[in-house]
Amino acid sequence: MALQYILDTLYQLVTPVNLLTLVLAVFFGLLVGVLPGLTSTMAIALLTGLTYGISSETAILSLIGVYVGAISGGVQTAILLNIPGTPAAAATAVDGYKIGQRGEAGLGIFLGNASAFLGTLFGAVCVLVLTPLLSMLSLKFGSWEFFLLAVFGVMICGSLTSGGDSLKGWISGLIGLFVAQIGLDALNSYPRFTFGSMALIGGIPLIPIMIGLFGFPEIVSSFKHQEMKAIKQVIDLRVKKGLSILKGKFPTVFRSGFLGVAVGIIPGVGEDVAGWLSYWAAKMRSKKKEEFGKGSYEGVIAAETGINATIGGNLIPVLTLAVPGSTSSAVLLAALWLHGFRPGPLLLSESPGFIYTMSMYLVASALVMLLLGLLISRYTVKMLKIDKKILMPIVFVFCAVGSFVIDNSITSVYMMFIFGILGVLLAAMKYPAAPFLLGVVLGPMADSNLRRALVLSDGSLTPLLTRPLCLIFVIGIILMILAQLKVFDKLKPIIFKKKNITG
Amino acid sequence: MEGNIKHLDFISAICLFLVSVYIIWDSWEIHEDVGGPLYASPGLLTLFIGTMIALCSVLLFLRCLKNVGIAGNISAFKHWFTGFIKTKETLNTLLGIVILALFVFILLPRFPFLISSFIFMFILMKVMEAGSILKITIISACVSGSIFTLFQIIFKVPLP
Repeated sequence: MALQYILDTLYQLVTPVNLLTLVLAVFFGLLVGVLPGLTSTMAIALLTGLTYGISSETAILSLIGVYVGAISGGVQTAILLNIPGTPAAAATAVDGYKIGQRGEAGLGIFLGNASAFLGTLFGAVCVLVLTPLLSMLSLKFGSWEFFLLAVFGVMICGSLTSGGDSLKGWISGLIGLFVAQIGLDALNSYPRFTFGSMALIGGIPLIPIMIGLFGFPEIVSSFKHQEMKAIKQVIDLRVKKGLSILKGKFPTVFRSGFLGVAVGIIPGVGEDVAGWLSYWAAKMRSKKKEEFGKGSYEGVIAAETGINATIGGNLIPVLTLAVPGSTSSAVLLAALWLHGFRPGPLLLSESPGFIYTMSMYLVASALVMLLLGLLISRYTVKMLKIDKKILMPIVFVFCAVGSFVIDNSITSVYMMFIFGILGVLLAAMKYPAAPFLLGVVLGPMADSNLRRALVLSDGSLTPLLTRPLCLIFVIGIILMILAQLKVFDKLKPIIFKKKNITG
Repeated sequence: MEGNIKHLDFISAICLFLVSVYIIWDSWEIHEDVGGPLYASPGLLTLFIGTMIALCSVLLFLRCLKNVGIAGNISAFKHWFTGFIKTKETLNTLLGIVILALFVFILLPRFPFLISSFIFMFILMKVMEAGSILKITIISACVSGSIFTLFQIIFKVPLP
């Protein structure tokens, strides 16, 4: 029966209309992903309106195509300009930009695209295999777990991106968490830190913050040097070398794919966390830890695989529980409803073939994304040829447009500028911007879940120690704090001394 | 700004501590305003965040004082600041930021996108000496026109 569903979907896919739609959709997605500040959420939302008149299969195929393209497209600007096209691509930029700077941008883009393909493929397989099982696991996540997950995510990000100074990373993450609290609170609708301004009542939108923090400092840094040399030499994609590197990194691909899917399944946690978690896991397991942050191929592979595996992971709760795993999948859920599908617990019994259809759509989109991504890369790599004096003013116009189109408000453009100045200050004082962004993303989840959990436990903190998943997070957080306080460094000589005595 | 930035950490620690005091103060006011138990208050997480920032800023401050002391940090900051504001690099950066601000706060809200983006790109490229007037005019016009066509005409997305 499963084979029949797969064959039916393949038959649908090879029709000229669907094939052309898929190529155009993925291409549009890649463009959105490449352009700083334009997100997959916005792309899917934009396209949903345009698909209203076409058949539901073609519509869903195009939306999946855009989703995959937009998530994967972030790798281009992350490697070439250190401006993540998507928030998640910040993890890719850590090593990707360094790879680009040492003249291997083409290779970095190939590795990023190929890893994105493998990650999406891994996600598609997981949609098939794990959908029935993982709906049960995600139900075990309560408010305490969600709160701790947010804290854990910000702390990991702070430790990973601070270049050895976790304290600054955590401060940055805490400020991000605070910025996320500005506006009406989710439970009581109480206006917090709005200074009486109506523009702040709804909170500060994520996209202008992201563009400001990551795009603005890059643009400003181009003003510093009057004599800027345009990079004339364009490097080849080096497919052969890329494949040989990938060949040796399959354990990283599987680990990151698994982490990406697991994070994607958890509602509300998007590809940002997956990217950083995968990067962290790869760094911890790597024999060449010192290369991370200095242009490690494994760093790019881990981040991109993890980020793209979340697409499949995000679809699992959408299909089984009608709960979106991220903002992009929330829009996709609305699009599914619009086209007459009924995701939720009854979907498996009502339309058993739908899971196979979605998986095949993901695989087809990933394949088109890989081919198009590599074709486009040949041209986007040439962006290095463009003089920064010409490129950066253009990038800033895109930043302004990207901030504006989120809510058609000029206030968002002002916010982008304000957070841009903050980004410049953070960069000058060597505070990493990534934990700040993650704090803003996870802030609302942390707030509502902490208070909900405390209300349910009558203000008691004992569930932190009695719930198994909570305990894992608590131990993880304590270990990170102890590592910052260099407790393990102090313990090492004592342990070795004892070993020597007993030995 | 490169190299040792202990004096900058010293300043940022003081600023962060002041911000954290404000966050804690306002969070407590939110709690008192809403009433009920603290654990259900909208000010709970912000109170927690404020306290954590205060703690981290104190740790950062203490770290800066090691070997140098308060007077050493202040004199290092003064020395850095007087040198910093005189460099050509700083002046270029400030001029660039002013042009970005001009685009965001004056051109975009007052003029149609096509005109505002063209003026902005033209001015910035001219100031940065990106090429001849003809070259930057063509580039600015083409980019403005392309963005306008793509967003406003093809995708019907409103532009500023």
